[in-house]
Amino acid sequence: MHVKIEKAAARLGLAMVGGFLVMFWFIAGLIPPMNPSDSAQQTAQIYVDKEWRIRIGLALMILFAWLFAPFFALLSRQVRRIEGYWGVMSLTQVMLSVTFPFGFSLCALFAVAAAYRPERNPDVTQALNDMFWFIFVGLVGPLITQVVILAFCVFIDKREVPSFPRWFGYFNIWYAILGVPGCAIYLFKTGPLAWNGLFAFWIPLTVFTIWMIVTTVMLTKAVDVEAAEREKRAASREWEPAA
Amino acid sequence: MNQVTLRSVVGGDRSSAKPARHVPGEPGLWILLFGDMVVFGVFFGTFMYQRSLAPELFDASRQTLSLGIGLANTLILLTSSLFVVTAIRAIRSSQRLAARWLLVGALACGLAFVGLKVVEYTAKVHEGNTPNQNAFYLYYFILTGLHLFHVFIGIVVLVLLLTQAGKSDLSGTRMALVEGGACFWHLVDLLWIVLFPLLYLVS
Repeated sequence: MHVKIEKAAARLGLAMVGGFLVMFWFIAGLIPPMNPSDSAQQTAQIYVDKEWRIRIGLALMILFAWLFAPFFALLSRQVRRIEGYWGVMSLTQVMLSVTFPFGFSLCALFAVAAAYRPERNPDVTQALNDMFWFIFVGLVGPLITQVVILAFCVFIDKREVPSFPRWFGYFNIWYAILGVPGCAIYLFKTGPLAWNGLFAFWIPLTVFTIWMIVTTVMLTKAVDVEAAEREKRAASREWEPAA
Repeated sequence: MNQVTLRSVVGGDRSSAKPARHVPGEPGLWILLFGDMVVFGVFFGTFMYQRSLAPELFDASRQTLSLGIGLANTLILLTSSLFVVTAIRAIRSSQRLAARWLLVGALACGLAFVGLKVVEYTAKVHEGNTPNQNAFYLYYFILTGLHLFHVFIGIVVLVLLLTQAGKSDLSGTRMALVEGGACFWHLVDLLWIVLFPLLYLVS
């Protein structure tokens, strides 16, 4: 039962990435991103044109973003298993995992607010729109911190059968490095580091999607590793720690 | 080359009959290194595409760059890579003191690179060449900035290598990490070797 629930949690994360792309891209039409150097009128016009698409797509995200939680709960558990007790690394994972669904639902709330009364003063719509992109693209710190901790855990895992292969650690560092440029969107209105830019948006989005797919597979395998360990312990009648 | 056996590191279940071919660092590391190179390839491609849109502007702006500083930084990074290579060799032959001094040399080069970059950036901004000025300077600051970010990570890696160089006996895993760190520094060097002609020289 454990194994089934945990694998479901891993796959739920992957399903949510697909859901996110459908909600943001196909329903709301917010990807590809609008231009940050648009005037307030142009921005407001987008919200007039896509009013219902944005309200429906993002209402779904505000509801479903929380389904990312089991995925990150599983991730935190695996870090806890490597660390061996509720230490700083696993607790930090738990704390930052809490912030993850907010990254999606909080940004969506701002865009929904912008699309709720599109006939209002365009300056207000523009400000709300800025907040949407600032949170959606620019708030990269929590996930990068999680990923760096995860990489570190992969490297220090000295158990006989480690939960993750070592290349997964390097893969996480790669993701962390490529995720960082998103934090620069506050400084640019045009170019590759603006919120619609190649370096700040498209590459991080691609790498994030790849990371979610690979991490889902790795977590599924880690669940198997744990199950095998549990069976071995049961066979030799060892006391099973409540990990 | 010293044979560091990686089997225990990689998976533990490989047959121990055939001798492993030596991959610098460990195989997984190359996901990071090649992955980073691919993305920098995309960055360079974007720059080339932008340049093809405004060749005169890019060429005129290119000539306002400080070629001397760029060249000095290239030589500094090449020297640092040489330091790292000889340091790894010294670690392999257990010459710990030499390894540490060589790594200190590499670190000094890394810091000198950062120092010169700060001087260069300050000079550019004082001359009125800011990222908002034109597309060339936007890409100049972003590409060199992303590379500088790699240099910072590389400096942290070199400090880690320095802490390992003093150890009397490095296990297979640790030696692989040390080699991996050295490879990362070479990547930082390699990226600059491509970036320097791309920004400063190609007309």
